[in-house]
Amino acid sequence: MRSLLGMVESLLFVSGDPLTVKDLVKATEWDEGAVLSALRELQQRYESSDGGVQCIEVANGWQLTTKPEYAHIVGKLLAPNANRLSKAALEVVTIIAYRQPCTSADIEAIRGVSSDGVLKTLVERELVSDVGRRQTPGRPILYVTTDTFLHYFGLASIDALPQLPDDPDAEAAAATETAVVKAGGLDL
Amino acid sequence: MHTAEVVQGVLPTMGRPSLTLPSITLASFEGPLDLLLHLVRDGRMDIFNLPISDLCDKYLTVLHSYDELNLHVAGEFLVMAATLIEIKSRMLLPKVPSDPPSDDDGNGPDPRMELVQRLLEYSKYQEMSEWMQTVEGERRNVFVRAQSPLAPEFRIPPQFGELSADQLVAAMQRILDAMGAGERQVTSVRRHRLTVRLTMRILLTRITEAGEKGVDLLEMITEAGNGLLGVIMVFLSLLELLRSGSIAVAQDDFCGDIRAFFIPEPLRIDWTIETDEGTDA
Repeated sequence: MRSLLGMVESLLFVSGDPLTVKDLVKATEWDEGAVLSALRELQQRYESSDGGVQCIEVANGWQLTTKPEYAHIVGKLLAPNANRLSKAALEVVTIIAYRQPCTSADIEAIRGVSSDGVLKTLVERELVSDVGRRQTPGRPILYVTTDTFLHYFGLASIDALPQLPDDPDAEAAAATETAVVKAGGLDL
Repeated sequence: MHTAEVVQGVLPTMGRPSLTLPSITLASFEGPLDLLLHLVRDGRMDIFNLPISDLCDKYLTVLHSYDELNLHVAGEFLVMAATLIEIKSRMLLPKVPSDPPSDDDGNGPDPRMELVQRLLEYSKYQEMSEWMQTVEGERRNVFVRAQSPLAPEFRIPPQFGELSADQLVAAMQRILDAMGAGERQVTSVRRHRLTVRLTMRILLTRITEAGEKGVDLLEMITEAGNGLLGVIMVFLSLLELLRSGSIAVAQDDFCGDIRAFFIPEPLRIDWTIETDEGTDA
């Protein structure tokens, strides 16, 4: 007895990497809607079982991973691979994620400090890549985040990023104005 | 890097009682804005009504303490110090009632405005980067399955045209390693009369003679002769022949042998106009 759920599960199992719905549609020859509901059903089943595997949506695809509660056990078997990102690297990658495509100068304007060294590390780790150059004097390189970035942070897609905290442009302007009025414009 | 207890604070809210101030630890800051934000949070200052004099003093104190320790203070920190002093002095100047034309409130633009904007903008991203750090940690608690090296025949085939230059280099390195033609100490330099043009002609003759059977790609490379240089010549020649459309390569099975075939003139594909899948000709 073969089921679509079984097909999807077996495909996800053999591919360690995330598979897109498109990949699954191609292999199973079922339509997208059916594949998607099979994926959700599979995810549900793993979630409600006490097994050690889960099915998650990551980097625009679906993937089987171990459940976080078994991290400690799995970590005993596997050696840690890459170091965690530094505070500076996290800041830079965050700015790129929200502002992409953006240049090194855009990042510097926000952080108030040169970020070129950090950018290089991020490019080496393939978390960001350049997509060309901005057509302004100096033709600065434009950076975007990659699929590896989504993978690294376990994000389903770039839209999975939470909203930036309240846009300060509008609010801050208003707030500063009131503050100035209250303080009589002089506060020393 | 910050010490943990000082970065966790959020922007202080107005009217909140000031807690005991943690002493300023000489941590390295990511930049002047990072240091300023730290001072604002640390001193529970109201970001929308920055006590610029206080902030300026604290900022300079930190810079001086760096100085005493002979730590190198980057230029950006000094620029910010100058900016702070400038804002402070502009705040001290008495307001000229109607010149320049004032805004609706009867006040000129607040000299602190731009700095506050930058601080808010930066703090927004800092906050998000803390969120990113959390998900980074969570992600590290789940593990994915690696492709089993015991079953290489089950590797998922790369899609057409998806191989990167790095993968090509890796393939080249495998061939060189297998031939033992890797890096070698150079003791003498000889001049080789070997050109890509010549190699192309030799290869093309060989492939043409093989007819429909074709010639094994790996065989051509490993039988190149002339060591590393020969391999490179054959490799470049093959790329050149493929590009010109004089030969085509075909692979029947995934990870199987790759064979090169001669393509007669009328059947050649003009790659310069269209790059379509047409290698099975």
